[in-house]
Amino acid sequence: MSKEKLIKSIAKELSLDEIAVAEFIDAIFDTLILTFSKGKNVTINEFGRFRIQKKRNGELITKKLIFTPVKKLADQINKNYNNLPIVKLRVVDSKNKDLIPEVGEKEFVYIMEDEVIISSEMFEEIESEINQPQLSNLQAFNGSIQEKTLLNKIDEYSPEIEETIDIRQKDSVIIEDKPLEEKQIESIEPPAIEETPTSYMFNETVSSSFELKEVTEERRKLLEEITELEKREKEINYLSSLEKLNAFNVDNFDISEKTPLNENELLALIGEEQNIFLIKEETPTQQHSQVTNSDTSITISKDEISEELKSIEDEISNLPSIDTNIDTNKDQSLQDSDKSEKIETTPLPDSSITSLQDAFEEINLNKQTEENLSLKEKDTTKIFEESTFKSIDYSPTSIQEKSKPQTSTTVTFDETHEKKSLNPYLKLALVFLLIFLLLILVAILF
Amino acid sequence: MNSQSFLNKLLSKTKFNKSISKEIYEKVFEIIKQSLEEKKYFEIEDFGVFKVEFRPMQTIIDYNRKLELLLPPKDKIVFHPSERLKDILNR
Repeated sequence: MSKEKLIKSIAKELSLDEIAVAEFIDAIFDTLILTFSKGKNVTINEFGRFRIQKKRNGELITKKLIFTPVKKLADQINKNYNNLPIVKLRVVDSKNKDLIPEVGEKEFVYIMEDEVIISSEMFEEIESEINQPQLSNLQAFNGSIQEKTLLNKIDEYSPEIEETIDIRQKDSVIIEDKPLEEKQIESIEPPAIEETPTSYMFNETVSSSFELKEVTEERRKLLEEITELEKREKEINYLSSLEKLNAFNVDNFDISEKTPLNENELLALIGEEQNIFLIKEETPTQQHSQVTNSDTSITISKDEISEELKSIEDEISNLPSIDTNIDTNKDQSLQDSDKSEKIETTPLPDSSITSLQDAFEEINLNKQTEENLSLKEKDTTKIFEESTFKSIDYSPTSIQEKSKPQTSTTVTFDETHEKKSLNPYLKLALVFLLIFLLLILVAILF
Repeated sequence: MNSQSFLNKLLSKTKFNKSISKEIYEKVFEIIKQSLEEKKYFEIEDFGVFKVEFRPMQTIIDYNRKLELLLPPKDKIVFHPSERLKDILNR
């Protein structure tokens, strides 16, 4: 906070003029400076004391202004450390200005484990003991190896290396009660050397190396077991995740649980609209037919048509007699029956059975193409009901007659479709007209 | 000089009456105290700066009592006079 903020806050609180307050505050600090210049101390209630301290540096006398706050204020500011007491450490000899141990206190030296400094002479001694002739060749022995590495490191002494040393090793080196030699031997723990040095060495090296091999083998085995277990866990997790997933759901029904399903069950699941397709699949003639719900197009293979044709041929062969003038009869029948409808009919070729077969094929193909076109435009289900599932007689006399109503059905479908499509246009036109009329009315009113 | 005599000196320099001037005088030092508690800093131009400084734990030897003492850490108020004030003092 600065002086300006101080003036503003006081002026606000006491509802006084800022300039007048500023003048007053300036006057306070000017008078303080004047009093200090005269060498007088100033005490302010509930705040503190300004004191002038004189210091003599040779001939020069320098004045220093010191502020000591009131205890209340000092305590308020030092609230975090008020509870901490002053601790007496030691009695001091005023003459020597040295530390004097208290009465009854023995001389002692603090040895901290982390701060132990080991001299190079000590390590030379330790190294000489470790590198004794009896233990020189025992490099396989763990204790000796550790000690040697420790010693090599300590020769190149640094605090980083000291941190790496184990506590056990430290304890082995630094001894409080016992001499260094004894402790060093304890740490290495060599067996009692009663036998010849060679035999002892042989036994020790063999045992240690054998133990190491065993340990390594055991570790390898354990690692392999762990890896296998991990793999198994992963597989189990994967299988459990697969179980949670559903292969195929129709209205939240798990087919994976109840495979294989009956036809009735499937029908119940899928619904009435899609029953048609399933029924068609049951028939042996339509095994190759590929009908999908999503696609509007329907493709029927030629095998179906050929089978139908065969059945028709059989019927024709069973007939007692066939007139040669079929063309004329058919033309007459067409003229009589279908004049009102006025639908184009395909003229049949000459009166021979082979040519008739070709004609049937052509007619059937035309039918299929028409059906395909109509199906692409409209719903598949309705057309199936109306066109494909009607019983058709393929007798030679009524072939062309039965081909006509199918075409008529498609025409009627188109008409209805057009009527339906015209309605929205009419509605729009009516709406526009109404808006136009409303606008005219509004214009007349204003 | 105590605060009463200091106030009497001030009254001769201001337009305000005694009560208002005393109120302003007390308010000034209250605000300084508050700002020292909250922000640990207050600066007055051409006068000096009041600061709260942290003094770490330290050992001192009290020769009168012949004791070495360990002082706890402390937050203390320190006043640093401005250069102008220092010059005025050492004229």
